[in-house]
Amino acid sequence: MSPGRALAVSALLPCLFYVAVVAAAGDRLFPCSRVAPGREDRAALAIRDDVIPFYKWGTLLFTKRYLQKHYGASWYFTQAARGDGKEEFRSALKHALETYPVVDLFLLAHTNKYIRWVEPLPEALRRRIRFVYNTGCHNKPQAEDWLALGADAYIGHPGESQSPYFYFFLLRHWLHGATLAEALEVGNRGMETKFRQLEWVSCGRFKADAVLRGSLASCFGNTELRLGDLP
Amino acid sequence: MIRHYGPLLLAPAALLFQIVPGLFIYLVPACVYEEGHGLVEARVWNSSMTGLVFFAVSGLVLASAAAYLLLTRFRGSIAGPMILLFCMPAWLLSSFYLHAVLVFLAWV
Repeated sequence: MSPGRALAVSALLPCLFYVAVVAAAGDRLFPCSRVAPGREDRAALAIRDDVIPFYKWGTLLFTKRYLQKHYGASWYFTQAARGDGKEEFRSALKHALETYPVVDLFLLAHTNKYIRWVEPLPEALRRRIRFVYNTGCHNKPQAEDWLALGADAYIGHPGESQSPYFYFFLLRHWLHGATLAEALEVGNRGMETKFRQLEWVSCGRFKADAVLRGSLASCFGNTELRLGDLP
Repeated sequence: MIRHYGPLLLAPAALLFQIVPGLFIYLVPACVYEEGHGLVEARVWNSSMTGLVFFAVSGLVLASAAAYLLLTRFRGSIAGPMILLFCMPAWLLSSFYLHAVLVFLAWV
């Protein structure tokens, strides 16, 4: 083959593979995306519970930069044991609530009761909590409590959930201007697609419908909230 | 001899190279989070991203260089299967790392 054609083939094929990988990931791209207005007025806290090192690492890699890019300030915590980091989290949350008009919380943990860490904070501060996303299994019923505490919106999962699939879509679309309702829809749809693919690949051993029942997220409170909204 | 058949070795080398990012992904989280290891989490994101960028780009370059040399120096009956067997899996894995990096950087 001539060098020119060989060069074209060896340059084009990896591009095709990249396109295939993007297609397999199942989410649209957000190239050269802008940050929603009001970045300096919002903050975010994320906390990851004590899981295997690979999960902690993956969650950190995926979450940290997105929060830094789209929020005026962000804090990321990884627990080394159950209950670990309570004072650091509360101190950072208090500071965020005192400094920023709105604060979003990402509770990236198995079934949890971080709400108890937040309850003692003064009501005037708690009212600044805007959106809470909780990956915890069976943590959907916490919605009422979070809304009563002052949050504007809450997203949770009803049962044994495979929330990482949902979180991948939710975070990206929420940060790129979707309303919570839209991000929820994309997240649930994207997650279902992944489950169907897993079911197909595993020749039916992975039960997509059963897993989906426990994983389908719901949104409570102001579902029309956007990242750039202020109270 | 090596000069003549060297390009034939580059393609398997490109695929074998993929063991390194696999080891990186296996070892880094353990080094960071297992008890007794002292890597500061604040540096983890930067160092992990540097590693992943390096492995993604190196993997793509190696596989593409191997494919180019195979296509220019050998008959299609040799180059084709070699590319299919060695370069394509390397491209696929490297593209996966590249996409992960771009997502983690919040660029796409």
